Amino acid sequence: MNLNELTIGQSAVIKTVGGEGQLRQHFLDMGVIPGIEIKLVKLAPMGDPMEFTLHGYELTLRLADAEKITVKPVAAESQKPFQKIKKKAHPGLGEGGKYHKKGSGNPLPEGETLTYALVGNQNCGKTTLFNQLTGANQHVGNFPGVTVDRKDGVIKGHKNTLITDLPGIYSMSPYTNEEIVSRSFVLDEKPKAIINILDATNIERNLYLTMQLLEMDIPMVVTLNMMDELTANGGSVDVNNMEALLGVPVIPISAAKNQGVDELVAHALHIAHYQEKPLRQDFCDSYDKGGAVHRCLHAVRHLIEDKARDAELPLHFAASKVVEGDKLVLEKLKLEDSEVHMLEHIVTQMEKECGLDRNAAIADMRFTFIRKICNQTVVRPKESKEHRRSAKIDKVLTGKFTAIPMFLLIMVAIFWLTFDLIGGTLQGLLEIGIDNLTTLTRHSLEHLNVNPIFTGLITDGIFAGIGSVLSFLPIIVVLFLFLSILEDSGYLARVAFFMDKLLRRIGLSGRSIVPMLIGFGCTVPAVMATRTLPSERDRKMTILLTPFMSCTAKLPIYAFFVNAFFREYSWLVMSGLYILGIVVGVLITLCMKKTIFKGEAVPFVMELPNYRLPGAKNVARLLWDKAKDFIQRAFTVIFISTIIVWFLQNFNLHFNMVQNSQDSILAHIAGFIAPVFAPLGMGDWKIVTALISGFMAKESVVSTLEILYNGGIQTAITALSAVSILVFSLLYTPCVAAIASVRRELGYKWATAVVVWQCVVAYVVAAVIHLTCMLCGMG
Amino acid sequence: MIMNIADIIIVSALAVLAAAAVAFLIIRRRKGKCCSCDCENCAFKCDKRH
Repeated sequence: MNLNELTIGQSAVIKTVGGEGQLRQHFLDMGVIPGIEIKLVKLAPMGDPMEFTLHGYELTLRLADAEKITVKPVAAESQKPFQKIKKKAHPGLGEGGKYHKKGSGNPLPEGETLTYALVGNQNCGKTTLFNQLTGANQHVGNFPGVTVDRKDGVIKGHKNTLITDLPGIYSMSPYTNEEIVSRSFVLDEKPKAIINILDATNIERNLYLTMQLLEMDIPMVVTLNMMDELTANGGSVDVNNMEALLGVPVIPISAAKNQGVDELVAHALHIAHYQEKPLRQDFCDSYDKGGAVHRCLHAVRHLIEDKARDAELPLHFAASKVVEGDKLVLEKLKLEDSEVHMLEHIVTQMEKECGLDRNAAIADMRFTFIRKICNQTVVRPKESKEHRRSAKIDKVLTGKFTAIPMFLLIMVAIFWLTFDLIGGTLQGLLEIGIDNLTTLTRHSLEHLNVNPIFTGLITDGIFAGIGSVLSFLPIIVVLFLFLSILEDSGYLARVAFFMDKLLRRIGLSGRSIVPMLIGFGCTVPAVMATRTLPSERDRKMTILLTPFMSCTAKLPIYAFFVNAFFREYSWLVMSGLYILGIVVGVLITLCMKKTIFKGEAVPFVMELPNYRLPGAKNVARLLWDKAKDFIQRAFTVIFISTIIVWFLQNFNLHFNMVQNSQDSILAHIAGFIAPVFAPLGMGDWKIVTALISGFMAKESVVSTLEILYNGGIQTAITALSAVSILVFSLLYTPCVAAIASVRRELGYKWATAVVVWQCVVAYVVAAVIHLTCMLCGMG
Repeated sequence: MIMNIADIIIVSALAVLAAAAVAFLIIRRRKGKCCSCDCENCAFKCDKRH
């Protein structure tokens, strides 16, 4: 039978893994290999994808992908009895003062910078450890793939070190962009040592990457993170024995509690300085499956030895990748035709002898070795309380009939708390404070006989401009607080799981929901979050979709017009704008799916982490960063733009002060473009000026309007024009920072296309709504 | 336009503040807080310098 035919709670042993190319390799790397027991935990509320348990962790697969895997049903494997660990002598690898096999005997010169790569699976605590090691404040989350690019830092107290936090990866096969980033770093930048971090609660799957890293022939320390969680649930690890079997120092730590980190640093410094390479890089067994894989790998190593040396590739790594058919490694090796033929013969013979194809055979060899190590060194924990808690929560949050209602409820609650109860109340208080300060300043300036022009600049220009933007600080901070809690708790991964089927209808995968939700906060991180998507097509589609999710910077614009024109219907208008953005985005994505991005979304293979309580320090740090950034923007970009707008509005082309702003420089410039917007009811040069200023920062739109209309916008434009402006502001080009991030991800052409495309879409939608309202007799 | 001392002080203060804001933006961009924008606080930071 096929994997998709399993019933909930049923277990089976995998017989064959179908599919092809990188996806199949990814299945194998995630531990979906013949002979492994797998259990169906649940189906997503819409019946697809499925959630399985294997190797002690949760993996999601779509029905269509599960159909490619054949299984044989078995009775559920009973919990293995706890084994008693015999104490063994500590090998003392990576330590001074005790004899063990040293490195090359040529320690690096004193003062040479020791460079480290911090490598590990997704969501195993790399960034938490990085922050502990460097004292940095990088954002961490409970979602696979928070880190999407490398980050550098110096280990605290050790100036001559440089540690690079790399995106989480499951293997050294280049499946996603972040895997390519990590692999290229280790291969090309040749760090002096690797710190390989493992999730101790899931050692079996994490060791798969460790084995490939050991093959890189670079000094390495293995660090077992979350040991506190493992031991609290009755598990343990015979660290001494594991160290002896792996041939590298093994350090148990808890990065979150800063336990064992000092010992890790001491070992990392030692192995990097003395260049102590792994003592073991050969994991095949001459007795396993008749020794077919063992003979194959050794034969290939002999065959490519010279070519690997010329290409500066580690031999063991190159050999296993060549057997797997890794195209990038094969290109680098530049094998001759006769060697390629010989290689093919060797691998074919191995496939014939062991009864598995090349990729499955290598994965099986690695997992066989891992099982041997785990049997000798790991005491399996009971089901952790975190896992039990997650299962209980999931019954509600991802239940068949409760998942979507709960998601909608959570989102409505977040928006209500943000815009009304918490954010709205705080905003009201801040507005009162700013108004009082403005009045006080105005009176003081008048008292000092300051020229009315300058008084106007300060109170009606700078105070009104910055004040109107600054009052949104509480709302923005509160929205980011909730987004951060959603991400840190592990709920976002679940949303991706149950939204997959829905998003597939518009050509995207469930993973795209994460950038979309982040887009409600800010488009810049949303665009960067698309890096976790494994296909270029999905990434492009998601990047083009995220600007339609209304970011927090547009909130002041909505509030400005809602207060002026639709005070009684504020909730209706605000929600309508958010929904309109989503609807237009979905329609555009559907069009793209049928035209420029034909095809299907990538398979949904994702790990579901346990729910965790968000760390107060982490959340507070993120909120402080957001608030600081917002305040900095208000007092720099907005401050300068209010002065520039004030100047352009009050002076003519001969730099003489004007009585009527119609004669100003600004009116002349914006007057050229204004007629284009006349059909939308936005033919006023002041509105055009405000929209142009929004390209620098969306918050500038409101500050500019405040200066130009001086509080009298209700009498200057109609409610229908206000609707057009709101719709246009919602959909037109993202700010320059967002465009810069699109340029970085997709290049200049796409970034330019986004600017033009969004403006065209905004114009068309605003025109349609404007004309419809006029035909209905409104306005 | 005749300016008194208070006017001169205010204009000077505004000029200094505007210059400081521009300098701040330039320095931050040169230092490079983020690879794709001058926002140093996106949730997804990276270390590519401009």
